[in-house]
Amino acid sequence: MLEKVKDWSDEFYESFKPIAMGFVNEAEKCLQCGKCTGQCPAAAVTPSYNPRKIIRDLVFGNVKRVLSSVELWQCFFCSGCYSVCPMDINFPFFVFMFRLAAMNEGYGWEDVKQLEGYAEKSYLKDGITVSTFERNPYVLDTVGDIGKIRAEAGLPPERKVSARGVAEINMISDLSGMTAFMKQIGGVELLDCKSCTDEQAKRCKRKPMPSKVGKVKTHYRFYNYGEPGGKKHAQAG
Amino acid sequence: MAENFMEEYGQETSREAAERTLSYFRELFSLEMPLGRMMKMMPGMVKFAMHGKDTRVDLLKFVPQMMPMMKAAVSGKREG
Repeated sequence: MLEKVKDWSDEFYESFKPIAMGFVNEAEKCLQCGKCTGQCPAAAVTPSYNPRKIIRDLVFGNVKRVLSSVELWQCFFCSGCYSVCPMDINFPFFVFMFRLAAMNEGYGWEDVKQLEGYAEKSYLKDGITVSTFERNPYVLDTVGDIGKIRAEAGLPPERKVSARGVAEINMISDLSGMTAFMKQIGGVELLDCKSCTDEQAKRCKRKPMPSKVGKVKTHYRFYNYGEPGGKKHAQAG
Repeated sequence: MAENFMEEYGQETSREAAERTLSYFRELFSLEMPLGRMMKMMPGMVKFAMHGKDTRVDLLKFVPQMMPMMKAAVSGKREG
């Protein structure tokens, strides 16, 4: 799975620095101490996710492995790694930048397109930045709808945003290219089909991943950093 | 379907993938304002201006700040 060293050059690495707004610049200071991974809640749940390895791959120039990995999408930006890093490497920002790059390569669209329904129904129309309804059948069964929970707590089922606020959100979204980005996203994927029941499958609006997003051809990602459930999971399988 | 990422990328090296990423970032974070990019922004501003009188007034306050950018977009020349 590893690449040859000659795939990379120092000259190219130097040119990478200014463009990526310093995140590569920081990454080369990495001591590989593993503090980031040690405290990471995402790594505790999915052992294949390892921030230290991802930084190492960037520094060694194994960009293909990072871009095409599922692990790049397992960070949820708690910034714990940044706070414990002895070299002050801003790993969450690095993940953010690399997710953009991965989407440009056609990876990660199955995660991003879940935003589509929310973007059309809530964000641009009502100006609500948090989903007002639960679409995930599993959460509906176990926790219940967000609207109901809000009503039980004595709140109106949906948040209200002023008309001017909605107009502003629409303008910002258009100016920043967010609207165009949302239009690229196709379909809604909710649950892993292997794990949902027939009843859940009926309500599920799963659609296949778009073969192309704009000019970019989409690809499925790979577990490039090991078995998702750890060694035990691999042996059980 | 490819079994792993090396198969997916085929003969392509990491350097080629990274070069593509670089040019994508260059475009994404570019401060240049070509006419095409400017035109994409217009619908949002028009929508905002059409919403009401107060939004129109707010937007007009920003016109002096936007003028150099608009001039550059229309003439196709870079400022400074």
